[in-house]
Parts: sequence; C-alpha cells; structure tokens
Amino acid sequence: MGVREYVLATSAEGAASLAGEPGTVLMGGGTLLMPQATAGTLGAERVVGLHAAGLDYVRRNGVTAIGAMSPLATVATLEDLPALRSAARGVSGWALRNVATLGGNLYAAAPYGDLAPVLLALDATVRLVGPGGERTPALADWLTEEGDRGREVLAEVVVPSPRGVTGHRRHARRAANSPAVASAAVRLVIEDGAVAEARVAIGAVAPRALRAAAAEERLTGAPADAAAIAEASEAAAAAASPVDDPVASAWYRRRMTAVSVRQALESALGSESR
Amino acid sequence: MTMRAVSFELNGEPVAALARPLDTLQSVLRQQLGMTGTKAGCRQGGCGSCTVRMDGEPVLACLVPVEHVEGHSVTTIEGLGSADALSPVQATFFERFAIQCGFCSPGMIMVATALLERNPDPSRAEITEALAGNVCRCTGIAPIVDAIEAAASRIREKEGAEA
Repeated sequence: MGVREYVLATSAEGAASLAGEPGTVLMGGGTLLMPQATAGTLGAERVVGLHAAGLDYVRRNGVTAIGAMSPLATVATLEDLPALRSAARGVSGWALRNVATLGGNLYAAAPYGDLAPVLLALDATVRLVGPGGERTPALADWLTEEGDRGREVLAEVVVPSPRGVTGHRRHARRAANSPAVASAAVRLVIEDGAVAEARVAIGAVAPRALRAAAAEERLTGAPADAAAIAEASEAAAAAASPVDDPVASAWYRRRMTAVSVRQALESALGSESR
Repeated sequence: MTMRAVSFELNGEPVAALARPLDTLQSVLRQQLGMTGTKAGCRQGGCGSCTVRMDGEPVLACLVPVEHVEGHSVTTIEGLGSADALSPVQATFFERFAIQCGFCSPGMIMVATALLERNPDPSRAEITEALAGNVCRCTGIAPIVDAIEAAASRIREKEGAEA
C-alpha cells in the first residue's frame, strides 16, 4: 500500500493531533522517509509533514533554541557551538544538508544520526509536543525511553550555553559523504587543574548515541593527563555495542571509538597530539 | 488518493503539476514537465545526480516532495544555458573533458554554479567540499575540479572586463 495522503501540518500541535493515528507517520526533511515512499516500502498510508509547521528557526536567549525543522545547513553555521557545527558539516553533502533537518537526524538509526553525540555532550533538552500537551526531557533521557516515538512531535532542541571546552571527532571511510565508523563528542569543565565535570558521548557504535558513564567517571576529579585520556577512551570503547556492517566491522568500530574519544578530548584540551 | 495541484516557478516560467502524495520533485520534473536533464540515479539521496536549486539553494530533487516547492522557484540544468550559449560552468566542463558518460554532470554543474555565486574564487579544497555529495564514476573527479577552477577564472575575468 502506497502513501494515500500527505498532510502538511501548520503547527507542531496540529501534527501532534494526527501523530498517534493508525497508519500515520511523521516526516521532517524527508531524507530518511522519502526514499522509502518512492520505493513503496514506507508502510504508512498517511504522512504528516512538518515542513510548514513553523519549526525552522534559531533563537538565542541565554540558551540556543533550534527548531527541529532547521536544516543541517543552518546548524552548520552556528559558530558559537563549534562541536555541533562540526557534526552538522560532516553529514553527507551540501544539497542533502539543505534538506535534512536537526530533528530528523535525532531519529536516524546508527551509523547515521551524527548530531546526537554532540547534543548529549552539551546537555541538550528536547521539546516534545503530544496530543495532551508538551514536555521537555533531557535528550539523554528521551533517547533511552521505550515506547512509540512516533506519537509525539519533536519541536525543538534547546542547547545550554556550553560550560567548559568541547571537542568532536568523526571517522569515516572517506573524508566526506560517508557514514561514520565512529564518532565522539566531549565537554570538560576544568577547575584548579582537575576535571570538575566531564561529558563523553559516542555515536555510530551502538543502536543509539549514548553517554559513556565509565569514561566520564574516570575523567572527573583528576587532571586530564595522558593516562586519564587513554583510560577514558578505552572505557568509552567498552561501552560501545557495535555491529558488523558494510561500513566497518564491529572490531574496527570499537577501536575507532577509543581513537575518536581520545582525539575529541585532545581537541577539547587544545593538545592536537595524535 | 488525494491529488494536489502544485504551482511553482521553473527556470523563470510559471508551471503547474498534478501530484500524487509525496511525488518527488525529481519525478515531476522528468515525467510531467519534460526536464530530463535532472537525472534519477540512486533515488535515495546518495549520488547527487538529481541536484537542482530551490530558491537558489542546491537540493536533492529525489528527496523533496513536490508539495514543498509550491510557490517557490526551481532551477534545473535546462535553466542555465543552451547548446548555442553554454553557461561558463557548462562550457568549461565541455572543454576540459569533465564529462564522460554525463550522468552526474547536471548535478555537478548545478552545485558548481551555486558555489561560484557564493565564492567566486574557491580553493580546490573548497570545490571538493562543495562536490562531496555528488558522485562521478568516470572522470576521477580531478577534471571536474579543473573545470570549475577554469569557470571561476572565466567568470572573474568577464566581470572584471565589464566593471
């Protein structure tokens, strides 16, 4: 059965009122769902699009609120969030980044979904609009929720002004237009020569992006020296659950997780030693 | 099934099409509007051969529901030049053998044209970055980068002479 109806919602609330109905799926930029619709494999009769829902914006008010329908090309221009900018610039090519959206990227299965690790490291929250109202969970909590994510509309991602220093590394088979083998995003708050707060997030090496708690614990409360970086990188690799796929073997993805975390930490600390 | 009439500007002229839900801009351009210069390669956003410009921005026509271009402006390769009057990028692709089978060329040329409007003197690295989403199986890419560099200098010379 092909798609019989495409509804262009004019608000997140309007989309949410339709989202839970049988045979209905929500669509952002369409880079994930349009190929399925074209091939006749989408498995939904009705698609509710967010293209005209007024969710393409960036607002700054102490925090940065990014509408879920903001194209990745827009995210790639946010110079005050360099790690997020780096992740957005790494996705595919120019013409795709003009279509793909921030919100849609958070629904992409591994190895896609390059932005979630950075947003985890930045302690982002998400604004979700459902039939009964809205809620604003931490991204880290939302990503691990069970249940049907198609019943709510992801309207906005809110990024606090980053405390500390940040770093991002992504490794792929080719320099561009190539899915990630592994990626890592980190944020460190350094006080009196020791790490007061650490965030270490990894992507493409598990069903969804995740924070590596053991790596964060290894870093917190001690100087970020070479031994701490090496041990935290290995701890992050141990938290990965990669699979063999045409892009890379599980073994290689796990090794590159450690490399990505080490390089992201070194980048954040300003020591570019490899 | 809900058919929808969609009106937009195509290469400077008003056009209309009757679309099924989620018909792609690519299929409407090729099958209803006769614009077969826009190629249908992978149909999943991976090859760049369907790149057109929407309000000046390069987009992949295979990923854009045609409903989204209602009221907007679309430019395809047919809007750039003609066989008698090639655009500067078309001309240098031709002169420098940046085309072999030609399937990727319309997408490459649309991206290159957009790049040179924003950055009249790009480095080879900037050209390569702009082309990252466009795949060519024939040329090895280098002649394409050469052609875009040559087009950039040709456009700059022409604008310098006019200034």
